[in-house]
Amino acid sequence: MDNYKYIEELLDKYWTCETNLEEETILREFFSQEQELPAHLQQYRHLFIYLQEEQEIKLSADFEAQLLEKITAQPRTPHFVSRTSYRTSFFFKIAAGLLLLLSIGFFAQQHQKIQEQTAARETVITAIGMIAENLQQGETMIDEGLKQLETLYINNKN
Amino acid sequence: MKKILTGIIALLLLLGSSKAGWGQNFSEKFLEHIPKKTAIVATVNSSMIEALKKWEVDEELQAFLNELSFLRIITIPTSADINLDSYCIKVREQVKKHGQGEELLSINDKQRQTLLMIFDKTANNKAGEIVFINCDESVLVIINITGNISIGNLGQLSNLSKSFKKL
Repeated sequence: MDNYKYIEELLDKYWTCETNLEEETILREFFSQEQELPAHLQQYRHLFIYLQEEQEIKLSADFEAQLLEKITAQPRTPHFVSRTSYRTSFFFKIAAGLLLLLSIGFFAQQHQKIQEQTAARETVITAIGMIAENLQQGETMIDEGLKQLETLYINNKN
Repeated sequence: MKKILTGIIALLLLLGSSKAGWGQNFSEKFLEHIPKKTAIVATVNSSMIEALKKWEVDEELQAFLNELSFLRIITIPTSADINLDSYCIKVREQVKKHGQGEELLSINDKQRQTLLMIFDKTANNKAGEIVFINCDESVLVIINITGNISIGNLGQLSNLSKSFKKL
């Protein structure tokens, strides 16, 4: 329990940032032990284990070389990708423009064709109408002429 | 041998020139004799007729289009520059020159002169060409139709025309 009291004192000093390096090492070593701890101390275990683990993480010997290699290799790939995407977008723009022009041309042609056909149909119907109308008038005139003849014939007979 | 060959060539040339003459319909001939700007010309040629056949939904009109190969309306309205009477005389003279035709209808009164002529009549009562002329005080109208048109069906055109008027 005395041991725990010392640890509690050290913890109090730790929270007020008054511990030195040696005392902090004692705390870390204490909490890294696998022994059962009372509940009020158990809660700090993860913190000190984490701090210890973090301190243990070290860079590999070839870290700098790997980093340099990546730094020098990095610009090439994005440059290439951006160029490709630029080309692709450029061709897409041209293709879209051509498609738009073709569509406009096609619809204009269709519209003109429909207009021409409508005009042609109207011409045919006008021609039919004129001929038909005159044929009808001709028939009416013949009928009237025949009636007049008939009347004349009857009158002469009488 | 040379004489035979020369004879054949001469015959072919003669046929060719005659064919060119026959190929010309009435309206083409008439347009050659008048100043171009005087007439309003509406032409429906064979390719347009083919297109109309596919497009047309009215059965009667489609039947008429099936017999049609060319249609043209020439309109000459009266104006200060145009002496319409002279054009009416000219067109009648041209009809006489066009060939042996049959007069189907003729109306002559003070107000107007109407003439419906059929040409190239076949044995099965079909006309190769129809020329309709209507001349009054205000306008000269010439309708020229070519194809293989049933003369008997011409009377039915009035029904067709009425149905379009209703629309």
